[in-house]
Amino acid sequence: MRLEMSESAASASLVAALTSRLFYGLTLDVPDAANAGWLAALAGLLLSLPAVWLICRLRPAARRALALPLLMGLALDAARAVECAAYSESCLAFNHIAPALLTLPLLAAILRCAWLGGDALGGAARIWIRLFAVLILIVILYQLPYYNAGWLRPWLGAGAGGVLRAGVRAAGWNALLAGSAAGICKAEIGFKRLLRCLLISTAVAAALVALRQMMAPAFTAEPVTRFTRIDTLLTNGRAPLYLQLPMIVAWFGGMLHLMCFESVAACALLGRLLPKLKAGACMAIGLSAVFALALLRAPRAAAVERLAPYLYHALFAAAVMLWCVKGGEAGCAAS
Amino acid sequence: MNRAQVETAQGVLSGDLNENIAYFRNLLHADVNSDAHFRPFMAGGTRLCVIYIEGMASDQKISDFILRACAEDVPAGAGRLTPEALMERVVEIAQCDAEDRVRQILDAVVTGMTAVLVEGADSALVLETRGYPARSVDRTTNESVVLGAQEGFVESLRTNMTLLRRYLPSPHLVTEAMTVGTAVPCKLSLVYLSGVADPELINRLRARIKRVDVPTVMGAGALGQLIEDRPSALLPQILQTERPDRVAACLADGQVALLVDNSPCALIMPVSLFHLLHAPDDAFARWQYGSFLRLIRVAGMLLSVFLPGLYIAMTDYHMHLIPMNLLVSISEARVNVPFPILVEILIMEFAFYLINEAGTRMPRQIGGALGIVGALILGQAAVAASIISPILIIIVALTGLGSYATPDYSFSIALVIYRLFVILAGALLGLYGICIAGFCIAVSVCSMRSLGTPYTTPVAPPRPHNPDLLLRLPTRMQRRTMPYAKHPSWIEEVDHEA
Repeated sequence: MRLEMSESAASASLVAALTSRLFYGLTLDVPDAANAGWLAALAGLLLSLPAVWLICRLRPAARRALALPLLMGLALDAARAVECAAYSESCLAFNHIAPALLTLPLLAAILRCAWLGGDALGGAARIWIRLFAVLILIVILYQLPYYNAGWLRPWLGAGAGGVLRAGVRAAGWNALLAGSAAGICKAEIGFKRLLRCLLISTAVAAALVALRQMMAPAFTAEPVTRFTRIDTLLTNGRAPLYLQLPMIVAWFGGMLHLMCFESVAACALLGRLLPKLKAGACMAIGLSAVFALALLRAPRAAAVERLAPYLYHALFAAAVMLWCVKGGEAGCAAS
Repeated sequence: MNRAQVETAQGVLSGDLNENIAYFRNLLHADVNSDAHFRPFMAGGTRLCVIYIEGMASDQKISDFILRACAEDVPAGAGRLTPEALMERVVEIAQCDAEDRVRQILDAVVTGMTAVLVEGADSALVLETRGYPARSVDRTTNESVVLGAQEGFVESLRTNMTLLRRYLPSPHLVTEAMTVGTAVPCKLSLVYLSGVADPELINRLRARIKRVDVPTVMGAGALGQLIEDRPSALLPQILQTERPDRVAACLADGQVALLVDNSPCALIMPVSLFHLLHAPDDAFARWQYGSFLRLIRVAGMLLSVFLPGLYIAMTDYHMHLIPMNLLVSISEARVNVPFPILVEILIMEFAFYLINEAGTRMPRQIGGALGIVGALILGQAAVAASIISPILIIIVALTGLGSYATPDYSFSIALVIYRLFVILAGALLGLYGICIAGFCIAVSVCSMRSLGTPYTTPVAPPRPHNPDLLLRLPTRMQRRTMPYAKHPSWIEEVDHEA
């Protein structure tokens, strides 16, 4: 199937998407960890390892069954990312642009990229990783005089509970994206390779979150709106305004890779789940679902918000259950 | 010659000279064709006839080495002559062959060779007498360099092959002769280094050339379009170069080249995106200079694609990203301009490319006038008439310079089209739109292939490669061939095979 990826393309896409997801999640979605977001990223890595290991060891039949919870998680998370990208542009632009106009070009872009195939997306991710490094280097260089390591203290932010809650959310994103990467590979992807991707993404995201938190003290006393969080994130705290351009490009570029990877993975998993469905139909159904959810603002619905922290629990439970019911070990990739 | 007549030329010669002459006269439309010549003569009692096309064949060669040789070297009463006997004892031309198929004889005659029909023989002698005028080897026109070789290909396939052999005097250099075109065959040479180029790639290219089923192929550009991987893609998937040294370097890297008759350029396949970023003299300069110039070029190309789009996005949507003094200056300059920025940019882009295109087509003698018109209209009059703002001239000028810094002509045109796409995206959605456009371009480029190999090799998919992509590190570190070559390092492999 055109949507499936080679091992190398899946790894590159996973790194690009997961780095972006962790950074954006820990700075916007889960402010619980306050200035200990980087610790939450590391905790998320540790917590996600059992689930990812389990997913890698599942038999093919069990992995196909796991596609359903992964698919649901991906569709909702992709919709959340689409909505967030559109929202960030409306925060940044002085001209008012209708939300639909911000979302529909994304649909067209993702549809086009999905049509070009998973390997093309992986290739673009590999190039993006290099460009992202250059952009972040520029951001760090011009912000160097403003970093204050003191704002990382207290090390546990608002407390161990907050770090743990954020860590569980990060573990959920790790398990979701790594599990999806394992599910859409043309060949079996080994645990070691996934672990390497997780390590790189977590290290980069944790460093970026820490640098971000060294720019300004965390607000813990009063609730901060999402708009303020996005605004301070993209304006880089104290950076001169015209130097925000690299950060904005890095932000949107990362978000695009995240959205595209999640959408393409959702479509590919749908194809795995319903093998008789053609690639075109999978794309139509998968992308329609993602964009309908985004336009309906489903990820912001109260029920979804309440369930979102349990993504990791759900995936881990599904993996354990499938291990017990359909078995694991045999037929797995050598790790 | 129409298709029906070509099909009648599929037979073989008969032993009757008059019948054969009449046959060829008919095929060559000799009644009306003033340059098709049939010159009957006698040698040692045997009737012969020379067929040639005036201007294509050399009169002097025909007179000296065929007619005079036959008159002097064949004694009277020598008996019946055969083409083989003529070839062995009489004719003083190195390249000659006996041929009995009418189609082959006809193809040879129309390309400047001479056929000698012999009475009583069912084959003819085909002799190399080509003497048509051709341009001599000259400096390249589109790929000028400061350092390095200056000579470029010409329209003659034979001269081009000689040039290439001079750069690669190796027994491993193979030039396979082929033709394309079902009605009017066009000669071409498939060139590669045996043992270096991957045989699978060569076979793939051979198969593509064989699949071409158009009546005529007018040059390398047309052939390239018929054999490329994805005709709908914007970027060129074949490198066209007029420099023999560049072709030689590519062959040494494991690529395959096509030389087409009447085309002063070679087609190189497979290529990657990085080949299009490289200029021919990168390798001649010291690595520090080469790397520096390459970075400047890449920055120029990025400017040429993204600068107008960024300008429109920042002035329309993200004013806060522009330093205050500059923002005030831009606003003041635009006070009297009646158009939105998008229209302003499109007018300037159109004017710029109109001047560019006119400059290409215009006779050289009046080229100076074009500069004056361009400078006056674009520079002063348009600003004075408040059609455009002065800052836009700077933007368009920088964009144009970036575009001209692109080493490959086809690539630079593709970048112009991408630029329009980015301008529209920036005008519609600001930076967000530009990022979406950039992302789509990147994925689209990564999905492309050239002769079946990924277009972004060796970065995506990653392959071991020389440190010669964006930066060029010292020459002693350049020990590998390209990833699609047969072996990672051909020098050692060829030595082993030898």
